[in-house]
Amino acid sequence: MISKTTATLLVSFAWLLCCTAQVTVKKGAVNLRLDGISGNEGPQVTSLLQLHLSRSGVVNLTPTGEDGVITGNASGGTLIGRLLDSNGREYVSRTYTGDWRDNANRFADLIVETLTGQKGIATTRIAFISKRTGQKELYIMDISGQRVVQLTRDNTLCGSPAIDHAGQRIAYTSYRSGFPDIYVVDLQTYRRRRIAEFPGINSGAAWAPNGLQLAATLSFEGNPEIYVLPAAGGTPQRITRAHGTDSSPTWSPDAREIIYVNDDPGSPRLMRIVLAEGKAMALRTGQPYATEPDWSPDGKRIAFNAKVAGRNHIFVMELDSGEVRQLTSGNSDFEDPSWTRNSRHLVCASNGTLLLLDAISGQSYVINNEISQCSEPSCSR
Amino acid sequence: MSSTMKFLNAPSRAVLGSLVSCVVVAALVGVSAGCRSSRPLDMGTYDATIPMATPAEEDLLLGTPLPSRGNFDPQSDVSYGEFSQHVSQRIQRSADEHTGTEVGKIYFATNSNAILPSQRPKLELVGNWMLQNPTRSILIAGHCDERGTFEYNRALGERRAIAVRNYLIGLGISGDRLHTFSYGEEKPAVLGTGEAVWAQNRRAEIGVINE
Repeated sequence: MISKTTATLLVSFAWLLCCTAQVTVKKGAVNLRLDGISGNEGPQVTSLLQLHLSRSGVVNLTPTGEDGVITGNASGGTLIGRLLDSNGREYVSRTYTGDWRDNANRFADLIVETLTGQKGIATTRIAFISKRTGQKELYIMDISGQRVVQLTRDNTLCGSPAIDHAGQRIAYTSYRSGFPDIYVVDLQTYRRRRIAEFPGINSGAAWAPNGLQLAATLSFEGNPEIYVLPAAGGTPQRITRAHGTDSSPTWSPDAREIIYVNDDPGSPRLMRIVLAEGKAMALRTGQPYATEPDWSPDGKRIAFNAKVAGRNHIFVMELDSGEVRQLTSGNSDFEDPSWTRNSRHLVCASNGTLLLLDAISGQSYVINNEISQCSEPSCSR
Repeated sequence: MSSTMKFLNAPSRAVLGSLVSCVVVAALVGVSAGCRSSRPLDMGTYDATIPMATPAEEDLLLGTPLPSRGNFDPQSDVSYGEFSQHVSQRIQRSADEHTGTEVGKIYFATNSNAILPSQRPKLELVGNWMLQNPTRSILIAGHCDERGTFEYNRALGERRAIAVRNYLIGLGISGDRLHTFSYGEEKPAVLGTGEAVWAQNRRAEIGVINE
């Protein structure tokens, strides 16, 4: 016998699965009650779950919990996470071992994915740049803002970090040789390797979906153009043959196309090129100054930066319909959008602070990492 | 010399757009060869039946490949003040109010890598210096104002440095002596906001590589 609440859960789950993860998801948001997780790590785990679920856009945390109750125990590196229906019957139970933050992040993703079909983003890692020491250095952290690690202490310029989809390597640009070169940091071994040091600039690396190649801006042939090169270093293959500056590549999920920035008309705009054909076409964003494109993991949309009345704002373009929406507004700058794996939330920088944006609800959340002067976030998938 | 520059810059765009005839290709390949050796053009010496340009030949027209990095540090082994004493009255007359008279600093319009007429006398001085000091090489560092995004500015700065390099190649200087790179918006000459500040930050700085 299926209780009424369980039936509701199942119906809403099935209904969500058959809809595309867009505006409809919010209509199907589930109402959950978060009971305090018991145990010596319980309070921290509870507050981390609360943060992730309230930002998910698909979970309403309510005192009544019409659709279910979250409970469990977190002690000594073990989290037993339980999801009950409103009558107290167990719906899901899962045991996690490890750092309490990993445990909480994984349980939060399980709740979101089980109840809504939307991918959870709590386990996302973010690479970013901070100038808090007076010089730009490379950092990594959880999407919650916790576990910040400063990776470099080079006391030189750096920028343009790109974390690979698995969250295991970061490609970035550093001037530690004096020139802008591309380096890859292995996050398992904390070893760093220079993989592009051609004459001129080597910058703006973007991981191919398979993690084996990088697209980047190189200028050794006499003009800044987009190239694809092996992630371990090697011979670059030129992709663009254009006048003007080509920069900021981003891959399609099927690795067949790249969207990048070209400024040949005198102002930067977004271009789309099919790698096998080598023909580039301008994207009709309607924005005269567009940079920093990022292709969503589901392939459906592009987030980018556009200049509006002297301010940088985040825009999203739906590639099928061509619809362009402005996500941010106001008298601040918003830059460097990077999609998370659910193709709904993205992370951007605003005046030194990193923000999580919900492209559907329009909500924004400060990622409180207690690090000042942050920029250029890049999210693992 | 000015005719050489024309082929390196603006008209090459139009010509490249219609790369259909072998004759045009032959003529263009000839032009690029002419630039390198600084010889006057002689269209009549090129055979109209040579094969279509390979991609490598096209690339020569879009930009001259950069020399290998060499063994110098852009921070410690380059003197950016080298040209500061070479200020002539001609440069003072041609410089506009924002962009100063320092020979080693070439200024640009917003989002542009075009060499402004007001900046040409400085580059001619640099070119003369390089002709008189044939063993020396220079590093051209491109810079931008703060308004663009980091990565676009890094690429735009490089394009400005390359525009300066191409201009000097047009003056007869070997590209092997002309190194480029870009700081993007990371090293402004002047802090602050407003067009007067931005105009001073949109620049290419020319430094002489120490011997």
